Amino acid sequence: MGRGLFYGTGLASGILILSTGLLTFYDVLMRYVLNSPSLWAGDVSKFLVIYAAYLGSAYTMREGKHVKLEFFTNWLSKYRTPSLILQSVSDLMVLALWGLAVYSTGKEAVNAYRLSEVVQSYVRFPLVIPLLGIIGGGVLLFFYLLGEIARRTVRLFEKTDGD
Amino acid sequence: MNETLLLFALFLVLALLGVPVAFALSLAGSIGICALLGFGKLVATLPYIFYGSLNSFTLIAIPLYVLMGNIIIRGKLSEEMYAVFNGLFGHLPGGLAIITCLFCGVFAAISGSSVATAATVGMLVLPEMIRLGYERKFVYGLIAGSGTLGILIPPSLNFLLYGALTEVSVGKLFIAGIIPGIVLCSMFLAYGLIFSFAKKYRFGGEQIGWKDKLVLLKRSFWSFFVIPLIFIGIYKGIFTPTEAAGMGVVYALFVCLIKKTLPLSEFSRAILDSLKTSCMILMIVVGAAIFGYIVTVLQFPQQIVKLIVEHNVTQFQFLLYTFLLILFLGCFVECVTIMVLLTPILYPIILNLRIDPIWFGVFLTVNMELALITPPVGLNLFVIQSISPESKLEDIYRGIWPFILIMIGFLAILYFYPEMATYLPAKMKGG
Repeated sequence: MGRGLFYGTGLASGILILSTGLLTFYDVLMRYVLNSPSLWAGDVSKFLVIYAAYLGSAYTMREGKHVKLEFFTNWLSKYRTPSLILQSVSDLMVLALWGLAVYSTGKEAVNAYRLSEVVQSYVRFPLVIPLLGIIGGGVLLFFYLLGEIARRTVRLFEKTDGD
Repeated sequence: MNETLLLFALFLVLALLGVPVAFALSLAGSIGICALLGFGKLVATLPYIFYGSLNSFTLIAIPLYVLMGNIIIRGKLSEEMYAVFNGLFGHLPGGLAIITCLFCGVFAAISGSSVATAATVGMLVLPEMIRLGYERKFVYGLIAGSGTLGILIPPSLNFLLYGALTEVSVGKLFIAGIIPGIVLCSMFLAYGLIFSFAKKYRFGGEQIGWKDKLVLLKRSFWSFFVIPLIFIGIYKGIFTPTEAAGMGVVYALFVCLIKKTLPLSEFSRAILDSLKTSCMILMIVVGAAIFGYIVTVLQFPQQIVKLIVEHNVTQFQFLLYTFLLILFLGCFVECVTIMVLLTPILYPIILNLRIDPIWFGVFLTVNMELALITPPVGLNLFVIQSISPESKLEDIYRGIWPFILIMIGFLAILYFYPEMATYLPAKMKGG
């Protein structure tokens, strides 16, 4: 189920990028062909990219596509237990970061909603819209990392032929 | 100054421990904010950095150019383009070396990414070159080196990042990259030809008649048209670079639909590949923004500027130090990270030293190209290894040296003839 969830959000985030392309095309078309530029397309495009970047981050992490410096971890991979512990510690630190990100952005989103804060642009969209994308992406990353740490902890206590 | 250096060290330690670079930057920055400004400030600041760092119309272009490149690859338009080069030059002595350089130059103009350029061109030419007996280390070096043209010839993701970080016109940066891109491509081409003749690679593929060549050109005309669509649109001030990216996506999709070369399965792969690359870059931008926030609070760039003024550092000395610093960092850190980390620090300095920001964008990008092929962690070197699993890293390292030297020579030319990068932007409309 977890795999399907991350693949699904990955694909949905990719479709958001495609939608950004279509929206940009529509904006150019409206301006040059119909001489009627849209005031909202630029802001909506930015929101779409923010949603795509954060919601797609867990899928990108699962696919191992976030850039890493691997010379030390590659060397350590010869030793199963230290390698698993280091990976879990590394994930734990990222988990703490995203836990904090979800908490702080959630708090800000509640404030923005209560105070009806808006983004600074032509069309005054509620600020809570982009913040929800960050929270959604953060929650997905948080649960993905939690799952990874749990999986590694189980592996750590499994007996292997080498042990 | 000491606090900033400690933060850089913390980032490096986290990255070495296996934390993805984007999150290592975020973590080091967050720890810095928490330690120096307090936890309350961190909680209040983080949401605005998470939102503000990606709330940029310029940055929208990054996922769009990546998507356009992936549609062109998955929709097999790149193979059509390759067939044209093969038909025109494949029969000449050293023909595959010519094709590799020229195709890298053209593919760079549609992908914006060096990794995508090296991977796509490599997959098409590498097996054929090995089959025809070209020396392996030469082939690896040629593809990895020529692949770096992807971030110099516009649309370049590096120029987009530089523009987004400094607010220099991305349109002008794109246009500034054209002449240097062509010159560097020609230098690679000249080396490829000289090497081919020296090694007596006089074999070539089957020569085809002019009629067949015309058929190939006609068939691929609409695939190639995406390049003038973007360049002329930006140069004439019709589109902004972001709009040109949106037009490119729709155009590439339209051509694939007409040619029926993009089945749904490949389309979804193009979308997912684009997402992964875009997320990787955008998360580094977010991480660098968090890190940059605390570096700015600590007034690190101002301290460097002060040091430079106190020591009467000249333009040449500063550029030499920058070159050496990037060459060193390029041995360990990936080039997007170097770009987003260094640009906010270097930009105030170049303004202080009265260096043209557009010229510096090109200079910085050529330096990044070097970082992409500098052993041991140049990203393009690993691309070669991934598309040719039987390749040995030592062979790749040996093959890349001539291209590193060519690029260093090119940087010298760029220094002595800055008009190479500044002439076209001065002539363009809008920006």
